[in-house]
Amino acid sequence: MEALYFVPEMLFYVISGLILLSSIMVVAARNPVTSAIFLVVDLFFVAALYAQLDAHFTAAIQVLVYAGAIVVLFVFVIMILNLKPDALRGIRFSLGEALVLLITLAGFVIVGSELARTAPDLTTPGNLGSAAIEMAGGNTYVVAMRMFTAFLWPFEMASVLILLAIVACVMIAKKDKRVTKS
Amino acid sequence: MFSFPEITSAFYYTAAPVLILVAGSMIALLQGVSTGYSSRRAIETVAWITTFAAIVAAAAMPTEHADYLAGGLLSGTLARVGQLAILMISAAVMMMMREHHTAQSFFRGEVISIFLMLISGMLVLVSSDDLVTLFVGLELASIGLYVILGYVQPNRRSQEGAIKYFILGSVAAAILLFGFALLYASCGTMRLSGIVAALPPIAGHGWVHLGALLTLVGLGFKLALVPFHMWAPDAYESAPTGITAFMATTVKVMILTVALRLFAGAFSSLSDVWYPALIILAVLSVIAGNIMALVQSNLKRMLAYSSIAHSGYMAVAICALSATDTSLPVRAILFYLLTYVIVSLGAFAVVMSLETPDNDQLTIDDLSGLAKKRPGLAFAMTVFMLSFGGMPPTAGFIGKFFVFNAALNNHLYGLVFVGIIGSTISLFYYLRLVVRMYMAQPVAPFGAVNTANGRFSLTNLVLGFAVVSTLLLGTVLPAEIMDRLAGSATEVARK
Repeated sequence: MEALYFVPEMLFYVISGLILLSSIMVVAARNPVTSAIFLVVDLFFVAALYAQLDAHFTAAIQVLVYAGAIVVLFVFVIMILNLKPDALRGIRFSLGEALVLLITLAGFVIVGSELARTAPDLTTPGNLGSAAIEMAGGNTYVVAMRMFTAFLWPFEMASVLILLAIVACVMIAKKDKRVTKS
Repeated sequence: MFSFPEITSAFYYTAAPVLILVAGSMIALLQGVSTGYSSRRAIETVAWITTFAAIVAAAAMPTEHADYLAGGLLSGTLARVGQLAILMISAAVMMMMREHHTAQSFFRGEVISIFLMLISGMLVLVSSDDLVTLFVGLELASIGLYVILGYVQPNRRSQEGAIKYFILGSVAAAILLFGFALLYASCGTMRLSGIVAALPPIAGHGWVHLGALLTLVGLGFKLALVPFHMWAPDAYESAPTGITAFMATTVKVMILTVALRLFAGAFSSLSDVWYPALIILAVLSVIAGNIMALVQSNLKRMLAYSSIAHSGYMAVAICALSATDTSLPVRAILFYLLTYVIVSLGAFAVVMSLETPDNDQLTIDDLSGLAKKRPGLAFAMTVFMLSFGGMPPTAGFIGKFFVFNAALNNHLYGLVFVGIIGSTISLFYYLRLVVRMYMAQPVAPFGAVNTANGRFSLTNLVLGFAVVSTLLLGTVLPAEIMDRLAGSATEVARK
């Protein structure tokens, strides 16, 4: 039993490592289809993190909506674009990008060491544990209740936001006869 | 464990402006795809009725501070002032657009629908105490702006400006959201008033510091503070001028309202973290904004850099919020914002009434000798330039006076010094324009294309209103306005 105590923590590091690896591949791959597939992998492992926090509802939604629906749409769009295959081999890499990566990593190390120095005495409840969630009525129930009571206003405004985004997409995608080159 | 929220009549009074705008946008959207009701006249009717109904609803909003739906919706004087300001700017912009040569492409079903939806997002933003709602409102406003920027006058230039604004704005939104997430992770609450209570014991914590700084960066992007200003000149220059006027004013109103709630309220115990960062932003904005404006020949680009500098002056006043008594700085910011909004609208109205379909990128040379042909316009522009430069009988002088006064009370002598140097630089390019208008020979015909010279027009109405209120705010009204803003100041400083 003593050894098993470390299993969730090790699992967290393994999943996080895979998330980082697949995220790097999303931006580094030359072929957009490869990028999209790695995005699926990435989002899937994020779902695994949610599941590890006992947020099973969020994990399921993550897989269904992001990894399932949205990225599939990405792949469709990429296929419609019909890109030439010879320019798409291998990994994209340039000196400038390496420099940006280096600076970002340096910033990450500075910020991370500062964050690690201060003690984690935060007030967030964090992971309540599966028993407490069960007591409250289960993940789906709790999320639904919060969404339609306390967060009703942002929830409704988000629907306006999505409508705006749809109208905007149609406007941009529609062939516009007025476009001039000037 | 959960109780359903009580939906009272007071809630509907508070939510009415947003609900009216959303309803109006749905009608305009349906009109756009209908065959019989999509004429410009029909769409304009819906746009005007919606906007005026929303103005009436916002004016009738309860002024006592109350919150509904777990802080998602706030009533109170600051929310009411912010909503009224945004709605009135929108009405003024619609008046100006009506007589501009881009009117035909602005008053279309889909554009008006998006316009009304993005205004509703701004109203949501200024009347919220909840981080999630703030973010949703901000995105609603931003995404609407990205689209309108590139769509009303679809050419290469405006699409380039829209794409730049979109990409940088999305990065800023992501940074802001990360900041909000860290604040939630450390405070365990989504509410600004909850953050005030939760912060003091953990104010030394790295997560909180990072959250506050990322939030500051996100807001700095939207306010176009240097070094987060790269999108502003391109977006301002490439957009149709009416949209530029809308963007330059409403975005500042909504972001500064949020900034007041954050920096005077939620982050008040974190001032040692955001205050040094904000000083750097303020100094860079005042100096770089004014110096870059010096070398611009395009009028809209010059106004864009000048608006960056004015964001800098407002940031100076935000720095003064780190003091224990926040009443004076809050009122100074709101007063400065009021003068900036009126003067900007006026200046862009002048630009709009001189633009023709052949020349919609006016340069400073295009205004040479304006006083000989259109003395009224030249006088109005002179008043606005003097006010931007902070010269005495205008509102700009009083605004700068209050801002520097608030900073001096907080012993920010260096910042005030930088501000005065910036103002001195700015006088050069503002007065250069005045000199061109009065001393040079006319080069352009200044034909009465959009606003008939001398005849009544809505653009001239906006212009006249802006001139009169710039002069009144600079002479008799300041004390009165400052008294009226006291309510907002006490509301923001609730600890």
